[in-house]
Amino acid sequence: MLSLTDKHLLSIYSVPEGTTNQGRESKQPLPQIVEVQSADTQPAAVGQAPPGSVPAWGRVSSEGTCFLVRSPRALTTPASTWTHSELPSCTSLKLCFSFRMSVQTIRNVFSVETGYRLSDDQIVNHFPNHYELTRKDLMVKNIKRYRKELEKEGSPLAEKDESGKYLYLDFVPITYMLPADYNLFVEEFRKSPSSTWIMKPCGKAQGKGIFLINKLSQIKKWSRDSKTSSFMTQSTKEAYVISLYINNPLLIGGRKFDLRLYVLVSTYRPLRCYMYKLGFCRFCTVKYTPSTSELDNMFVHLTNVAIQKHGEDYNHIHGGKWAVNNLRLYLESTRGREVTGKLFDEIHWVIVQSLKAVAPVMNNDKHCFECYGYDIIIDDKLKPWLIEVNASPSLTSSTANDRILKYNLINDTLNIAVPNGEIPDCKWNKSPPKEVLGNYEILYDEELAQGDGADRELRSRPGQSLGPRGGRSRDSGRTVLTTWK
Amino acid sequence: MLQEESDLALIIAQIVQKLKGSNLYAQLERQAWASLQRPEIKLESLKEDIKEFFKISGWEKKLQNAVYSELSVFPLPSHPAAPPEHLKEPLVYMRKAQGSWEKRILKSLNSMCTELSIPLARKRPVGEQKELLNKWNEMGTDEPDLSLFRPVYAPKDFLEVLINLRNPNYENGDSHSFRTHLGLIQVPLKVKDIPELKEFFVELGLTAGQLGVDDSTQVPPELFENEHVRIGQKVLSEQDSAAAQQYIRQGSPTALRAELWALILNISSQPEDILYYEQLKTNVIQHDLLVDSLIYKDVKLTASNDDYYFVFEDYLYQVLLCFSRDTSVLGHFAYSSASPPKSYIRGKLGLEEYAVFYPPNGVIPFHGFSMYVAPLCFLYHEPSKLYQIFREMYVRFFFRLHSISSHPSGIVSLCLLFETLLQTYLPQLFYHLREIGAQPLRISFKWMVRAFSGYLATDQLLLLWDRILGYNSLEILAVLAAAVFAFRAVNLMEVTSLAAAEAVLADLSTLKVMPLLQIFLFATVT
Repeated sequence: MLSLTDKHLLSIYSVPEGTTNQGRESKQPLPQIVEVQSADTQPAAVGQAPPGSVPAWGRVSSEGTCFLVRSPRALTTPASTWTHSELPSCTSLKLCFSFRMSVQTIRNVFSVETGYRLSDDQIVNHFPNHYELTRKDLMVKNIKRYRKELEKEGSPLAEKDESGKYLYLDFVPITYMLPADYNLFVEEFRKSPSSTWIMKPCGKAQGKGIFLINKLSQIKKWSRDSKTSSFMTQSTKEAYVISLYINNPLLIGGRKFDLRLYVLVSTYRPLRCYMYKLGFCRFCTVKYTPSTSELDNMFVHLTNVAIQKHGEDYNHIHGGKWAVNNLRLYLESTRGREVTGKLFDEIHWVIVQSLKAVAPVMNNDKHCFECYGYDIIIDDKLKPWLIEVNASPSLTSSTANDRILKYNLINDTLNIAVPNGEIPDCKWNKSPPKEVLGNYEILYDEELAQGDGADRELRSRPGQSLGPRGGRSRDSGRTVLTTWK
Repeated sequence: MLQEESDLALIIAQIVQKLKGSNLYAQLERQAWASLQRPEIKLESLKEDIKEFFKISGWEKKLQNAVYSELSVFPLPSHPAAPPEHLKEPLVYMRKAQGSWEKRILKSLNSMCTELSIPLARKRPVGEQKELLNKWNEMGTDEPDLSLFRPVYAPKDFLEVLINLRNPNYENGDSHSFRTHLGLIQVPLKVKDIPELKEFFVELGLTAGQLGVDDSTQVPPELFENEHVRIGQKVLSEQDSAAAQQYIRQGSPTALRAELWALILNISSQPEDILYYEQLKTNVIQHDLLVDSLIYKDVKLTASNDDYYFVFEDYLYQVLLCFSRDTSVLGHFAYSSASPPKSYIRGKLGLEEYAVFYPPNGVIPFHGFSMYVAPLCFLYHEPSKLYQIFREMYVRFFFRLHSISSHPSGIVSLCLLFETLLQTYLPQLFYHLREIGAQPLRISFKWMVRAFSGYLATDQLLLLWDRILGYNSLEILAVLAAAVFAFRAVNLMEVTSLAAAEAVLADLSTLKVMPLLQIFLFATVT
């Protein structure tokens, strides 16, 4: 098993085929992890370097995505200037790891024109069309579609209550695409004019470009027939989603927080996903107030660390991050075991349903796995809401504990995706043995769920799957709200 | 026999005396008057009928709980002619040591006061009062300039005082025997050894179920946990303090813990209590104390930076600021070896009529004091209840951790117990650490003074504090400290310096306390 520390850098061996620019002209096999090398000592080989290969390095960008670079120069220069070049000797590097793919470059890999053909011993850390889940507008679209499909089938999951709300599938706040659904949005807005809505650009992260509105005038720009639209073409008007703002979040210590949970998906069909036990809550540094005068104060409303760390009261030791186990202990102690168990079960349910929603449209390439960062907000009625899913969750660390957590996260992810630290074979059944799960727990395994069916005696304690005791494996779906298929 | 009877009579008289002044007495009286309306109360058998009524309506239980609470807190009288100082602390040299320690603290406080030319107390101007009231729920963001303030003392200063404690009546001759010079504590107090501890902590034995051990994921809940939870719910519905205390020795289920602790500490949130808390809050708003800055500084240095407790920072201010104005805390000085510091109105030094206790509750906070409150925030999110629980925990337990006394739960006894356990059962380790200049007490002292708060993971800490409440004793802290050393003995034998030993024992957050305690007490070959 690979264990990463700060002093190691992963050397990625790749097989160059001459100096093709960005590999466009040749079908170049992609690099894989074969070696862990200490920055200041000789390489200690873990696997076999393929013949004729040369070392390369990975670099982590500030967004946490990892790029392969071929020279030390590239460690500090912008990606656009990189070329394949001769490799001078190693220089020391703080941290890197092996994934070749970033969300940008994954597109190149799988696109029809550039067409890399991944060979059997190469795996990558993104699914080709992950954006179906990770773009805010597409996620909502897919979930809406999934719900309608279930309704059509007459599935009990799609049951609605008297007011027409889904009983089990209402986990995304009402969302509209702008400018496309502008009129629909206005209709909804007028139904409750004192409500607050949150505007988020579809393709951005880290809380960039987000703002809150409570008056229609604040989003005039996106109105389809607004006068300004004639000044810009539709394509330059950035796509936004607007969602009903959850203005009654659960507060602890008077502050708003959200949950960041890591979910690893090794395959979509059959769905096999793992939940990292050590998720955390991200707290705002400022007390929450729903008052309209503070709608512009991002320190009150947005929990992204990228935003909060600029706040006056940001603390660098804990970084406003609270382990999910603490949340669990607090809620059990103050609200009782049943409701806490129900909350966590619902959170698992939400995650699995969101993955099931995109499973049919996801390109389930056998070379792919992906680790998502789920953002969930709990409201004061202890109902979880799915806010978004991130394909490149930040892997940089803001505090010492965070560093340890992220390293372990990467380590465990690699252990599941690339078993035994050997050169992988993508044809394997993607069922890692229990011992390598590390801090991951099986969240949902479609094969197991379908295989055992009703015969399986579900011995796990209600609502205890990811408690402070940890380590309970939820093999198949539990009868939580309804039968899991 | 006669002696026992008269002792009992004395105790009863004392408890009745105490309870007569309490709210419960007034309530019982009211209830008794109201019950006269009831048809089953007859004039001929008035006394029995009222007693019966109390039994059925649950008031007898409340009285029982109150009596039990008094018994737990108040020490038994030793001799009717014993002066009140003996109730505080029977040994003269301990009293003297505590007195001089207090003088030192007060001197330090006064000098800081003069240096910074800040009054010990001042009335806030109206504008400032309003501001504070607005900010009451978010005092953590206030950030006054605290750079010039220093904590009055830190645990290690206190340790030095304890190391220098000597009993003048105890002379073991010129030859400094091996044993007496092995450890840091040099006073001859009686502490329990492992057989006695085994008997004392019998419910923690290997044959009894424990929360913290038998609720782990590998153990099916039917074996112990479900039944234990069921019993816990029954205890709560019966509202029986004594039963709760017995029950909690095997640990408390997370969901029941808040109520169980309240039951054991005999805290019920009456409207009067909430009103009292509000009154304290008003006191905070109206007057500013120097001690407040010390509290701010302490919270900022400790809890604000703690991964588990930073979320509750604002609660800590709300509790501690009110705590320092609460004169009802002065009551605990009757059985504590400490005495509240006195301060004099300006210009009237020495004149008793112009003396006030400073701070009003008589407790000067030290570095790490806020960590006593922090774990409670996981259980209670309502400030007045949180306050009550903390206050009761303080006057029952925590005060013993920073005052010099011979009480078996006092810090001196805990240190001695720790050292003795280590010397007796891990002599090699003890000797090795002593040789490299890493006296074990120097490392474990801070754990015990803080009752392990901030060192253990919160869920483990709460399991530990369950047992403190259950056994009404802090001795378990010393046992746990020894158990931690035993657990890491192998690594500790390898170290060659104090710093390295500290490093081995720096991180306790992964430890599981109950298995450690069980192994040390019941599973180690002695």
